[in-house]
Amino acid sequence: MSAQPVAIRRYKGEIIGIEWTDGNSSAFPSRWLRGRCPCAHCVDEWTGVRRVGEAEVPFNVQPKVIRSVGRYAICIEWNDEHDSGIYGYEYLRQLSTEYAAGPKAIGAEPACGSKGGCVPD
Amino acid sequence: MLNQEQILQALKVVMDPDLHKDIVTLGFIQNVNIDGGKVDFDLVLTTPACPVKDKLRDAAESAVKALPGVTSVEVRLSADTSKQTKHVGKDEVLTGVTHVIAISSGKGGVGKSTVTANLACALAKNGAKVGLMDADIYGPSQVMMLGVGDDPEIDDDKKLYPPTAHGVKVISMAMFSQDDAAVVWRGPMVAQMVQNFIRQVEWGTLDYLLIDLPPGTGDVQLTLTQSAPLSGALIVSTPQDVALLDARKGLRMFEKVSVPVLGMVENMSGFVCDGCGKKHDIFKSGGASRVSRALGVPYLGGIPLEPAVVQGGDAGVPVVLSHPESESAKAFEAIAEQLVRSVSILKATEGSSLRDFTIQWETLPEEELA
Repeated sequence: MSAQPVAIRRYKGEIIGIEWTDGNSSAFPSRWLRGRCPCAHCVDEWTGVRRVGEAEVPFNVQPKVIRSVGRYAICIEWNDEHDSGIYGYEYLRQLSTEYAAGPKAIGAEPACGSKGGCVPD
Repeated sequence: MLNQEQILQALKVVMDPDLHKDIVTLGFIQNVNIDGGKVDFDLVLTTPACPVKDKLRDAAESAVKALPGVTSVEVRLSADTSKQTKHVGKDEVLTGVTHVIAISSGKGGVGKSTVTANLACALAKNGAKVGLMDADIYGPSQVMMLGVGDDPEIDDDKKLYPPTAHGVKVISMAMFSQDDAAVVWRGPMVAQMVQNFIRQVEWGTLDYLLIDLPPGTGDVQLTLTQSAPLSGALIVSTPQDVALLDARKGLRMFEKVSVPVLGMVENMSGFVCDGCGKKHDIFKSGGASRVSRALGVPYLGGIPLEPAVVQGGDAGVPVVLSHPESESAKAFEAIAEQLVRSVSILKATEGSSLRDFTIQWETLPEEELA
């Protein structure tokens, strides 16, 4: 069993912060995390190919509700009406390492593709 | 002159690899005695089956030995499971049991009972006090798999005393029915039987009670999650999609009732041919690890198909005992180790962690990210 959250924080810029029982902390920009939703809609269940990445979600996506799932995960209900992603704590910790290593956009399209809703930073 | 402070300071370099804290902070070090250059102390672990106990003992010993003035070090290993046992509920059941673990599968025929029997024996082999409740009311198989010879004893208070096989205390529906008689019961009777198993069996002091559930998500599962203080559940699956689909359902059920899922195990995970030595993935492989990743539960390992496993089950001696050198036995041992870790980590972390929360994002105060 991985570490568990002791606090969920909201940082300026709609950044989701999680403090963990082992003393570590994570911070994920909303859109970055939404683009890594592990649900079967966003990732093809059997091929593992990502169908919905950062490029496919609105630029201003942010959580509406964050709720615990059992004692091992959180489910984030996003303001783009997507709520089926269960982010396991272990998965979040992996993402935390990935983000710390350098955030990069993933998805079928470049970060500011033709789908609209994206404003260059 | 040596003092206790120096000893504890020296021991602070020893970290528990799973709990990510040093053994002094975790309160593992007790009864430090200093007699000239001779030092002795207790290293009190959370479980007697702790997979890293030897590593911790060696590390503690050499840490103290390195202190100037120390001539000899004696480390006494012990385990204190009592202080974690806090089972609150309307009425106290299974009070002497530290960890109650349900072994479940969504689908029948995945080898859940075989896995349960082997894990129980592996835990007992590693020094833990283990009980096994065969709650598979309709197809109880533990009496055969573990070769239980005795019947439970019943005292005047209608308390049941479970017989022991391979160091594991076992109670099973099979002990209360004729070998070939089918159990045809309606829901309420099933619930009653499960209640009896929980309330009337004198388990004594146990480190782990494994509950072998019937397949699916029905009456027995519900009754158990509502009336037994489950520490967590283990889900057994085979690599086929259809079994995994059902495993997901099982997982969702435990989620609904807030029983932490300790992990997933993949049984029949490939067949290593004794002729050519090649691994054949008869039912595919790796499916359980993929599903557990997608659902965010730990993947504890896979057990290959091996004739010895079946022979062991039929002969009443689980493969971890009958063929300890086989691939499957090693896999079971490794999974038992992972299970022990999962349970300990869960216990250690659940105190301070956020549980059962629903947070409205807009109501959170915006903070400056340092």
